[in-house]
Amino acid sequence: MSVHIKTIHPMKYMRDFLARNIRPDGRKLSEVRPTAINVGSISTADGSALVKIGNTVVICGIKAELTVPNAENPNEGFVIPNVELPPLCSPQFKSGPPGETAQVSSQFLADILVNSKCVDLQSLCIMPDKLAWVLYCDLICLDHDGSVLDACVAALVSALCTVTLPEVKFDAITKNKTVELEKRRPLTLICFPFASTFATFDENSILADPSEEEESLCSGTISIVTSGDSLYSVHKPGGCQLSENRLSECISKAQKRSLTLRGMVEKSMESIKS
Amino acid sequence: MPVDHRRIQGPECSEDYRKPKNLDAALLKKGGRRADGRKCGEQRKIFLKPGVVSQAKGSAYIELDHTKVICSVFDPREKASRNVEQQTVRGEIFCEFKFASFSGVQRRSHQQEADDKEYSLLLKNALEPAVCLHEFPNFQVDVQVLVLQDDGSSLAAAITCAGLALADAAVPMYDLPVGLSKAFTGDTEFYDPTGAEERLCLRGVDGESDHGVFTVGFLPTFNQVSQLFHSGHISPDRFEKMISEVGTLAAEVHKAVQAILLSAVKSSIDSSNNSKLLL
Repeated sequence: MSVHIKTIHPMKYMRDFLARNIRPDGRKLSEVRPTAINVGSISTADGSALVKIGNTVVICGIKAELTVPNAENPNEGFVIPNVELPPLCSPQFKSGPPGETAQVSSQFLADILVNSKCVDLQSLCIMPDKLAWVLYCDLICLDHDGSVLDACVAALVSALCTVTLPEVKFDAITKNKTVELEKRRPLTLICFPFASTFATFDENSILADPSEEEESLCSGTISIVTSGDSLYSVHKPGGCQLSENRLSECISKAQKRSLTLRGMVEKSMESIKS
Repeated sequence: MPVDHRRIQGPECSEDYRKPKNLDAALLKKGGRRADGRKCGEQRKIFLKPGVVSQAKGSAYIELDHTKVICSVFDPREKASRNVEQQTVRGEIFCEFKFASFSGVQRRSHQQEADDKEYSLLLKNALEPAVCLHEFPNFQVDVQVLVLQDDGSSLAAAITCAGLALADAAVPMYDLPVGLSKAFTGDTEFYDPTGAEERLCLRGVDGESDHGVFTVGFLPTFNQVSQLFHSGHISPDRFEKMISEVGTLAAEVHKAVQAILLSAVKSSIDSSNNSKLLL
């Protein structure tokens, strides 16, 4: 019986649950789904991570290549994120060039990297104006069940933590590069930004970490990127109005969650070292 | 790389820091054993799991040591046929095979390259004979395969994985297709080759005429080969001998797939029984 009501009146089904302060999957309104982070699984990549938030799975693989720095920023390397939402992850995506959602997610990640200065681009430069590293961070969503931005940011940050770059010696006169594959140094991250997504429903309820079903029924979502106490980005694409109190509630929840996620990344890094 | 306006652009040109390694045939065989300690006719340990993608009708994930492949199958949807006369009594399988950009030693493009398209067609040929296409006329079933890491035998792994995913999606089938691959150069044969072994056998060792990689899509119950793909040079007698061995080699993989499917069905029955008890 409950299956029929869910198909015919999905909004009523949702509202009945929210009236009792609980969600259809049994979670409380501010409860997030179980999160798992696995690093270093792809050995062909220079850095990799797999993040699972509930059913949502995103994998990030980082490939490092050598290039010439830009004339405007001769001391800096590059970090290029790209999100792919293939038809594999959900029936709503078609094969072909990236759709709107994928483009928005890629730009969101690029903005976070710039705003938070997560990676020191000057550390990626080998010789100013001559040689620098470019890190191609390719994220692929393997299962799209809501809060994909959270999983993407977490996967990107975790994968950056695992990147090790070999030592490169560059002779400016002969333009000869010598790459010491055995001597690898890890990339140092300045901060660890993490995203938390919330869905607003009927202007009253705010659901943390919405699933795909909840995202399709909600009036709007808001994603907040924090690293401990620092706030880097608030992404609210349209949606219904949100009061200041609600917004500050969301920000404090996001700050707490970013600390938990940081702890998880550090634990998984330790497990691969041992 | 041509400018792709829908993706974040990196610098115009960048090169890989890895220099291509020279493959040495002797290194691949120490004392009768291969580089990873296997015998020539030994398969890598298979890890298979159905039902990994919650949003897909059916899905499967396979790991053959370092080769990692994931496959999703979706519900039949209407074929986009522009011509009314093209309506037939058969359904269709639409396969899409893609290597992830970080799956190989060299970074790959985001768009489908020539080998992705070739493998998509090979996969379709391997799976079609196993599926009861008359059960869904004018509809097509989408099979999406993504290789997360390629360490040899990725097409063979994809065939096995797609077969399990189709079974998980309850698509009516005659048999469970299984993929096998073998690489050989001169007298040495490597069953279930790793990436390095594949690359060596495709290039061939100087002075040896027979070399290549052989990928087979096999239907174990009917003892039929649904698809065969060979790159390289082989003599007809050797070819016949390899074909005759395929049946016995496939039996091992087939048993593993059957066992996993059976346990998946049992656990879903158990969970539905448990939920009935709760009500």
